[in-house]
Amino acid sequence: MSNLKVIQLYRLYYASTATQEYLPHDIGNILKSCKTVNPSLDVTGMLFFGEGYFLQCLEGSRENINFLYRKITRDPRHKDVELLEFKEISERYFEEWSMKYVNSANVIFKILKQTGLKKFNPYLLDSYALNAMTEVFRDYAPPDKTEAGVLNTAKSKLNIFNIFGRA
Amino acid sequence: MSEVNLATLCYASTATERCSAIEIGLIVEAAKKNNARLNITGVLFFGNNYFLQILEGPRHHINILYNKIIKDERHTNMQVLELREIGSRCFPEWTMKYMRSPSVAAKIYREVGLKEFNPYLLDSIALNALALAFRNHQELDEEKHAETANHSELAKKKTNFDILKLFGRNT
Repeated sequence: MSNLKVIQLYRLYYASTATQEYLPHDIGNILKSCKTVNPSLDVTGMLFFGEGYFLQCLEGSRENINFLYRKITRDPRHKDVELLEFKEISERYFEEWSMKYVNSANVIFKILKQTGLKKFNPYLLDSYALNAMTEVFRDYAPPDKTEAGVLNTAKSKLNIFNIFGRA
Repeated sequence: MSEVNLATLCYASTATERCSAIEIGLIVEAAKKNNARLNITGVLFFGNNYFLQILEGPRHHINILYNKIIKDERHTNMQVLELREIGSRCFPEWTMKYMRSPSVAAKIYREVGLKEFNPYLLDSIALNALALAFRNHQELDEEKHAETANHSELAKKKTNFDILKLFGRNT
């Protein structure tokens, strides 16, 4: 066992509740900032909004996720931000997305059915439900990709760096 | 019966100038009081000017505590290392266990394969091994157990055995 390692991937989930400062068009602004910030941090993920709750998943290095999460908790557009899970992972679920955005009612319906919950409340999700849900989100094919979040355009660029041996 | 959404959170942070030896005593005392109220148990490590804390309890309560701890000016650069669901607690009897003896702590770090104590670098496996090693050194926590060569040797054997058991177990 060594305490020095190649950069390990982590996945974080948090739940939060929209405040009155959150306006419907804000989602566009949130996604826009994901587009500028996340590729530089090599963070990918998913954002879900439904029933007044946010559920977000962030994937990347532990340090960068901590940096982002801290920033996120200070955003006045949501409150009661709660960490749900933060674990080492072997691969990303949302490799292609700087931030995939999901707000489809069909998706909620599917999740409720899978998790056995009556109402969507992200604060109550345990590890099993979170992972089952993430698979639904990952497989969700938005009708129009450009309106469904931010594609990870940094991906090809990063791969080139990898070829040249950058860690 | 298992508790609802029982989780463990580990974080690392760095002591600021506001943190003296006396302050650490105060931190531990305050932690014991707060944690009992929130049904949280855990352990606090301090070394090389770093803190490593492991908290376990209801996930919602862990979040309440996290929000409080992050505002504390006695430390900085707080980083969550891990938050995961657990089936049972590792420190059920400790509202906040604190390792008083630096030499015992150093010995444990060596036992789990760490050259020096830097909690920011601990991965999931190392965190687990560390938690278990500390739990098994409960009897060495007190000053009165100043190590004799024999005693240390015995403790080392015991811990190594438990670590092996840990890696053989599917958690």
